[in-house]
Amino acid sequence: MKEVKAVPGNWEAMTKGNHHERKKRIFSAAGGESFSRERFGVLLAFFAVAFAVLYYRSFHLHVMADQRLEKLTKNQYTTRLDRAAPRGNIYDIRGEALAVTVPTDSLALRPNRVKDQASFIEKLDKVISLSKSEISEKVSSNKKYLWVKRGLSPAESQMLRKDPIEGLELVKEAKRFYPNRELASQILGAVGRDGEGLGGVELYYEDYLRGDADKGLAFRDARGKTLQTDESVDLQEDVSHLYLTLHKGIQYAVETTLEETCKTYQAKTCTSVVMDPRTGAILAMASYPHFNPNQYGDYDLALWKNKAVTDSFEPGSIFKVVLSAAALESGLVKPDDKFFCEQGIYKIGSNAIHDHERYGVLSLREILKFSSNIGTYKVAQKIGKQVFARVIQDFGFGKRMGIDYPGEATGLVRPVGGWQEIDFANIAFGQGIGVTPLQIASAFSTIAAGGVRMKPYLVSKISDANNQPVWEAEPTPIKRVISEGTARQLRAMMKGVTEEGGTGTKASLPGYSVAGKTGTAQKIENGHYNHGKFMSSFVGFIPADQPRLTILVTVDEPQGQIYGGAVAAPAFRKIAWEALRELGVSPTDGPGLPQKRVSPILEASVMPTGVEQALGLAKEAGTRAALSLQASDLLRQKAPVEEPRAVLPHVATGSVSANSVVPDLSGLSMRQVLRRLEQNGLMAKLEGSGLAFEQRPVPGTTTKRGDVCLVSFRPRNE
Amino acid sequence: MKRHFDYTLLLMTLLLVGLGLTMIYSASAILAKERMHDSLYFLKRELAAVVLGMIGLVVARLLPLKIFQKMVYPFLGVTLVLMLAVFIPSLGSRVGGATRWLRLGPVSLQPSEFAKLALIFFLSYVLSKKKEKIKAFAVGFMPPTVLAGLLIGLVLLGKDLGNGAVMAVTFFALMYVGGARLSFLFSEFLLSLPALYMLIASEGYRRRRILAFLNPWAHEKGAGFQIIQSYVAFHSGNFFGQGLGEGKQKLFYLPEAHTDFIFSVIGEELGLLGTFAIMTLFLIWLFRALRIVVKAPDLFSRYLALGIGTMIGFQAVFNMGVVMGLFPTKGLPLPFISYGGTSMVVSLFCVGILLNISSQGKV
Repeated sequence: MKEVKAVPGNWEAMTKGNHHERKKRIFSAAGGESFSRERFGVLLAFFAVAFAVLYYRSFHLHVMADQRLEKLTKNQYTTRLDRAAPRGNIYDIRGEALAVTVPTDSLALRPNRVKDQASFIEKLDKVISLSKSEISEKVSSNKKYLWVKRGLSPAESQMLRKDPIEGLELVKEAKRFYPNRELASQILGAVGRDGEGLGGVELYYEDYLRGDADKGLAFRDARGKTLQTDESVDLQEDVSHLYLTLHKGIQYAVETTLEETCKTYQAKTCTSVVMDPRTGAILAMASYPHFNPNQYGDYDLALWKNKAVTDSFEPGSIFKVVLSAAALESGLVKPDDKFFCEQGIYKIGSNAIHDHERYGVLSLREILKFSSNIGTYKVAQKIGKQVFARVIQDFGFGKRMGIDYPGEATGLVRPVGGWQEIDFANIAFGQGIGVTPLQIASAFSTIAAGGVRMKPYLVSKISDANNQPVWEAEPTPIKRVISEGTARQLRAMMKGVTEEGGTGTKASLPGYSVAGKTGTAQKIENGHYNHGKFMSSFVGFIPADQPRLTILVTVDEPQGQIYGGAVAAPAFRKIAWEALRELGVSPTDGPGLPQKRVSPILEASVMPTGVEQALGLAKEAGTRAALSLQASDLLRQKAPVEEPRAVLPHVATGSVSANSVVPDLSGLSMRQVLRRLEQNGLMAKLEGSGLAFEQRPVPGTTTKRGDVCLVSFRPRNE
Repeated sequence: MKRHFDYTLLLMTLLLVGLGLTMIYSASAILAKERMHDSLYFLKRELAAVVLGMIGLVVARLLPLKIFQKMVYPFLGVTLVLMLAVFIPSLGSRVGGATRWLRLGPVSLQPSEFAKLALIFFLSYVLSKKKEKIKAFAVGFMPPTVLAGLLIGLVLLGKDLGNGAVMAVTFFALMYVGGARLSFLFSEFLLSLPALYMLIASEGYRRRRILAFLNPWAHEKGAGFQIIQSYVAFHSGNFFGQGLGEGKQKLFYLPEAHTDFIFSVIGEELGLLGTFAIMTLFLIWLFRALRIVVKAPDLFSRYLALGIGTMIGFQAVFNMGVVMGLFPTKGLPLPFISYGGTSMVVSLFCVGILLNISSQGKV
């Protein structure tokens, strides 16, 4: 202790001096001091560690993801409940209601207003059809507001109106109601509890059908102060109504026929498309089994699918029509050119193709009529792969048809470069290729209508909330696929199918000539054709010479009967019979069926006796379809779901040749844009969805009436 | 000889106080508007305390250090009287079941804040006097232990477990650094365990808080509510916070937002940036305070600086730890930041003492 007088603490010494010196100098006050340098160091270390832990913990809490916290945060900041947005109605082409909006009471709860949970649960349990545990869960939620039950029954809402319970509020909501239950369910889709389209047309036309979302605002919360918007919100303000191309009567006939067919043959699924071949308008479209969109929750999601659009299948013999079209169009083959059919078996390399009967020499006409695979392949060989592939493409196979319905499938057409000879043969008679029922219906319609392919569509008209039309569909030609002459020759050949000796005689109808084709395709399972599972089909149009209807019927895995001519053709006939009456088409060929209208269900007793007998006694006229044992890699594939986009090609307006000034459309909804442009006599071409943000020409430009204005939309909140 | 004092320490203190006032306003404005019909109510009161505290700071800075040494016993006596006065029904005021406040006309005092300072004064005095004798049991160890036990006991009787814990830690820290035998300290720690257990077990809320601390999510709507809401606040603050005044947690979800849980509001509104800033300010503050310990001119002021540094430093660590779920929930303000007049005045007075000592020590 040399430096007794030194000031005990010496920072410089502590930082600069050597260890020994420091030890001596620091804390070395006079007289046996007890202040411990080492222990002070321990205290420093304690604080250092404590702060390190604090820094780490703070970082962890702030930044590291924590789902529990995020969920809690989201829940307790919920300061508004959206009530179901109002929606426009959906009608069939004649204005018959398919989907409407009805008012309903829903029950909302503010848990923090409930003082005594036990008595609350007790009281509410007596009124409402919820279990005590469900009520208990809701009342002890940490959300500020929540729905207790959407869509109360009239009895429930009456009781709650009479005896209000503290913490509960009745809120008027719009609710979707489908008066025809299952009818057209797969086309319409369904609507969720918040008024959002969940599928089908409801989803595709969401932007039109759904009203202003803010109109649905039920509660707002600003710093704990609660406000309720007034009860009397117009539930259908600012919406559009849709008029479909469907005919309710035809749709009904289709669905009852499919149900009957499905049950008779214990089939998995029956699908049908009824199309106006002249326009591409869908008159009816359905699959059975279907679902009831009023209670969509009770059904398997698979039943929502409109299989005619979203699923593809191997068409089998009906595809021979496409090959025939290619053959005639190429000019290399005439309907009466003869082909040797090899007596039922024909080798292609190491594979062989078969016919169900030993045919000798057949003309193209007969090949189609009897559905000879070998004959079809011989015809295909004559025209070559390239010609066939191009016609397949022109008919639109392998691509979406562009129907205004979400989730359309493309089908599957392998590129022609990869076709082996056996593939070529298979595709000629409809194996090893995937098509949608809609594509087939479209191809047959093209032939029926004289060779020009039309774009299929489901919505015929959109009108505003006051039911003033704002948009009307116009048939859209896509391209000429075959010449008038080819189409005429094909129609004549296809008439043979339903005539005496053909495979589709059960599709024939007195008074009308029917042109069509049967198909019976073996289904592939696990890469191999299954000998017990078939897809039976019939496609045709009627009347054959001036077609008004194209009707496709497919029956998936019928039991007992398997041939398209036996299973699907009778369904075709029933649907045709009802649809012709619905449309008022007079018999074209001799006396038809009695004009007495029996609707909506086809009764066997009103069927002409000849047909009735034919039903019971028909011999196996169907043709055994292609049975190539070559395993194809093609399976019924799942449709890639496409994002719904409401894109309207153009707008019909009464165009007058005068000048017009382009209005400023920015920020407007599609509906408003259409209205504004219509007022100004301009055509609209719309892109995207949401609100308008860009337009050409720019606002203020003077153009001729009838000019097209291109408007781009982007989603709200962007 | 006129010396400089530790400007850095003063700067850190002023930054913390300034940030505290800002956050008190942000966290309390709506509550104040609702309850007092004056959104500035809490801010005004805290501002008054800051003014008073700054006067105390200047006084403590300028008084001769010797006076503190002479004031030890009178101060201790006054504190004990105040502590006891709290239990006189006409003077004491019960807030939330805790008897912590002494109502004197328009102002209310929290004597336990004085008790903390009195304890430090007393221990500094004893340790600087006894020096090596502290190692002896009867003459060295027992007297400070008994008196500390008395003070802490009174604080705990007022149901102020948080301040009791801070005092206990400060006591152990001073005795430890002051050279007391580890065996004595350890035995004392063990002996206090049953008492601690009794304290926790006697009050249902304390037991629930311990359980909630161990697993807050199992008590999400009960005792775990506050700490989970605190987590939510930190989490929604993320890196840069929701913005000053933009926090939502203080509105309904975070009890004690402007007092004990103000750090959580800082976390929500200023984010990681804000909490790191606060922690760093405290860290620098603590570093400067302990630097003053090293440079103190005599033993009494050295222990005094050590006691003050440890007390405020530990209280900051403890409060932030509680708010971030590292310790069970205890009512304890964050020094310089939380709303609370007595705490603010005493804390600023303590800073004044530190500055005083720093001006005496060798630079």
